[in-house]
Amino acid sequence: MIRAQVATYAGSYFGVHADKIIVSSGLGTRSGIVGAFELAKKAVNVED
Amino acid sequence: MSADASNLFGAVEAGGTKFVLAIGSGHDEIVAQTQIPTTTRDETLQRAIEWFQGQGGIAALGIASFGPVDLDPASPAWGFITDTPKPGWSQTDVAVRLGAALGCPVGLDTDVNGAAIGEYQHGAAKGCDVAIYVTVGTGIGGGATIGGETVKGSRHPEMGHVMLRRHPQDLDFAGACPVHGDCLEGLASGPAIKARWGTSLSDLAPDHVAHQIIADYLAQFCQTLIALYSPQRIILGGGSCRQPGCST
Repeated sequence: MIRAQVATYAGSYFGVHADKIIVSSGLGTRSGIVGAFELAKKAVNVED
Repeated sequence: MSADASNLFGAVEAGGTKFVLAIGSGHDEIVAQTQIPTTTRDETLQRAIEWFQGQGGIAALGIASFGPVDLDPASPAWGFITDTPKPGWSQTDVAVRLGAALGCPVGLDTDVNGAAIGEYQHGAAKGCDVAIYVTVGTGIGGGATIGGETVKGSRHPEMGHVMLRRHPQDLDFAGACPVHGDCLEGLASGPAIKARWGTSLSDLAPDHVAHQIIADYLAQFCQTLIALYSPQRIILGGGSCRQPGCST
């Protein structure tokens, strides 16, 4: 429902493909803790 | 610090209801994880410190925290949760206190910026130059990454507090945000839904008008984000976006 409504609001003017842009989380409830690990690595300049 | 500690990192997802704590060499090699309820600041931070100390040393700690948070490294208040509406937590030195107790560097960002980094590095926003993570639940917030760096600016975005056009079937509700009334969070957060319809979105029938109204507000918000940022991805997280009548 959200994507369809975004397409109504934005699609004709911006040429936006809401189906491609608006997605569910790839990490689910883990996104925050995954990001926190990245913040820790960044603090000591460690890259994946 | 032991030899092993140089390969281990600590991670904290500091939320208003719970702290998630983890230790490992990365997100895919977690050796221990727990969660503790967010009670008073001193009790919560002390429990977090004791848990990490019990796991051995770490090379660095990353914190994705509820806010507002002072993220300016030049500020004397860097690392503080500042003027939060959460009782007893204003002016809390979350990053400094944890870093000093654990004897390691600390990387800090907001909870939603942290989630945005996670999605950029390993999730749905991988490879996207511009991406935005939005969470819809008890509150509404958003974090943006541009070129892999989070947007902070003068403080950090407060995306949940944008103003929207009212839905024609939702003109009488004053809004639940204590600051703005009918901003996005005041109209579409969990407390705003409960204030209008007495229950959560998940307990309402899929054809209940509430789903249309909430979906409309979130769609307006996404349209605003598209107009402002031209993102390749907008990632919708949180419980409200997963309801059958209001799903993405």
